[in-house]
Amino acid sequence: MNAHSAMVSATALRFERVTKWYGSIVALLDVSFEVGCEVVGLVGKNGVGKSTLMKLAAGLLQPSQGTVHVGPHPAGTAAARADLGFCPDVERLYEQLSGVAFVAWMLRYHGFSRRDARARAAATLEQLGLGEHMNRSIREYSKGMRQRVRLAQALAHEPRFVLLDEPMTGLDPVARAELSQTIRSLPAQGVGVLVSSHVLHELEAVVDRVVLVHQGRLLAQGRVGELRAQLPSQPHRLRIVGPRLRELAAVLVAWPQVAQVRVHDDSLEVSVVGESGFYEALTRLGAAWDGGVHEVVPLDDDLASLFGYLVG
Amino acid sequence: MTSPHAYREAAYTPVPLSRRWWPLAAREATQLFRSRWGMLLYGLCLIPFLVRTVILMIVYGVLSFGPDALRNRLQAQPIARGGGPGPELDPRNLQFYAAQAIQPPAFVFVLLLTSMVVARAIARDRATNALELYWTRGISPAQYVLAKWAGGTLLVGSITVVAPFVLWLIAIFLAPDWSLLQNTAGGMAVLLGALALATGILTAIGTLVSGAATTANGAIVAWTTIMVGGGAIAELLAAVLRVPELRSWVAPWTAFGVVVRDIAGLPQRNASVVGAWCCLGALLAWSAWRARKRLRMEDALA
Repeated sequence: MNAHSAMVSATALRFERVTKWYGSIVALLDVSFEVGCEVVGLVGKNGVGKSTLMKLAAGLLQPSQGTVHVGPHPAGTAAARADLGFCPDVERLYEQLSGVAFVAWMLRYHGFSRRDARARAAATLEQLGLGEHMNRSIREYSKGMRQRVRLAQALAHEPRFVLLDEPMTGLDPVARAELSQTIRSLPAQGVGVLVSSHVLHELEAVVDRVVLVHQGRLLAQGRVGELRAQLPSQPHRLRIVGPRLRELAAVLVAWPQVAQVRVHDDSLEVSVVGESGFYEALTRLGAAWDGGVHEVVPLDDDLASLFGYLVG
Repeated sequence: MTSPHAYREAAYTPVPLSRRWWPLAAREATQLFRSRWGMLLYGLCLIPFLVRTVILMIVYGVLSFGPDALRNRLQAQPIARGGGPGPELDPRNLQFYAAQAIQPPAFVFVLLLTSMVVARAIARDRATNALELYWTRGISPAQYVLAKWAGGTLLVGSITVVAPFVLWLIAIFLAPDWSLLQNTAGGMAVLLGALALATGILTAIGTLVSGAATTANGAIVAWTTIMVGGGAIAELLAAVLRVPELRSWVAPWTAFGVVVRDIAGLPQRNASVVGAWCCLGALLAWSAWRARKRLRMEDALA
C-alpha cells in the first residue's frame, strides 16, 4: 500500500473482516471493503445483509468480529457519528412538522443552537431543491419531497459520509432521476456515499463502484464494466439490428466466438464467448454488409445481468 | 470545505448530552399542541382544573353561581365543623388541590392523556423506523427512553402538578388574607412533590410499556388494559374477598392516589401504602424488563 492509498484508506469508511451473527444466524461473514469519496452501491437481494452493513457503519450494531471505521474513528463513537449522515428507510416522518422544522430539529441533536439549526436546515433544503416548499408541513409532501427531506437531515450537519438505505423506494421516475442527480453530486462536495438498493437499474446510473453481497458474503466489488470483464466464461449477449437478419445470422453463427444466435422478428440476439477479435470482425462485417448494421446493443453489460451471473 | 483528498474536513466538537436529549424531550412535551385534536384533548384534560377554579371563585364570592343552597354550602365557615363542604371542596384544605389530580374523575383525563401521548411515544417511533434517526445521533436507547419519559412527564405533570399549583396560587390571591398561604405553603410543597413523584412513576410505566410494544395502537391497548383492567380486577377482588385494601395492591390508579396521599400526609381510608408502592414498583420493574429486552439495538432494529 503506497503512502497516498494509506492516507485515503485512513479517511475512508472501512469494513475490515466484518462478521456479524444474530444468535446462531450468520448475517455477514468476513466482509471487507472501503468507501472513499465516491458513490458506492451496496447490492444484494433482500435479507442478504445490506441493512446490517449500513447499521454497522452507523454504529447501531456492533460487529461480532472485525472492525468498522468511519475515517479514523471506530463506528459508533461520537466522533464517527458526527462524520456520518444516515438516511434510513423511514416510512413516516413527523408529519405535523414542516420540512425545515424537521431538519432543524434533527440538527439540534448535533449541538446546533435553534437559530443555527434553522439556518443550516433552510440552506440544505434550498440546495436540494426544496426551498419553495420547506415551510409546508411534511404531510403535504410527495414521496420525492419526503425523500429529499430525509436526505437533507442526513446531509445538513455536513458529514463526510452518508449512508442511504433504499433511497429510491416508491419514487416516480422523475423524482428518481432528480434524486440520482443529487446523489451523484455529493462526491464533488467531499461526501462519500454508500447507497443500498435491491433495484439494480436504479443504482447503476448513480454509482462509481458496486459491492455485491450475497448470503452474507462479499461476492465482488468494483466497477460494473470491470467486473463483467472478469467473467470471460459467461457469454456476452448482444442485440443486432439490420437488414436480412437470417443471412446475417448464418454468417455470424460460423464465427468461432459466437456461441448462439437467436433470430427475432426485428433483431438478432447473439451470445459471444471470449470477445477477442469479435467486435473488430463485426465492424468489418457491418461496413461490408449490404444496407449496413443499424444497431449493436449489449444486453448484459448492466448491473442486473452481472448480479444474475454471479448469484446464479 | 473540502480537504486535499476531496473529503470534507472533519471538525468534531463533542456535544453535551443535555443538548442532545432536551430537543427530544421538548418535542415530546409539546407535540400534542401541534394538532387541533391534540389541543382539544388537552383542553378536555383541563376540565377538573376549570371546575375547581369555578368552585374557588364561588367560595370566595367572585362568582355568584348555582343554586343558593350549594353556594351557601360551599361558602360555609368553618368548613370542618359540619354544615360546610367536605375537605375535597374546601380550598383551605390541601385535599382540594390534590383531588383534581388523584380522584376518580381525574383518572379519565390522565388516562386519555397518557394513552395518547406517553403510551404511543416509543412504539410510534419503532413502527416508523424513526428510532434509527435518534440512535445515529448519539442518543443511546437509555437516553432516548429518558428523554421520552421526561417529555411525557412534563406534559402529564402540567395537568397533575402544575394545574393544582396554579389553582393554589389563584386561591391565595382570591383569599381575603394571607392566612391561606401561611397555613398551606409547607403542605402544598410536599403535595406538589408527591404529585410530581407519582406522575413520574406513572409516566415511566407508560413510557416503558410503549418501549415494549410493537405498534402505537398495541401500546395504547396495553396501557389501557393495565390501567382500566387493573382497576376492574381490583374492584372485583375487593368485593369478593371483602378486602378493600386490595385495590391499592392491584389498581395502578388507586396506588397512584395512595402514594400521593401518603407522602403528602393526607388522610385515607381502606388503603395499603405498602400495597400501593408494591403495585407501582412491580409494574415499573416488569415494564422496564420488557422494554429493556425490546429496546436492545439489535432487537429493536432487526
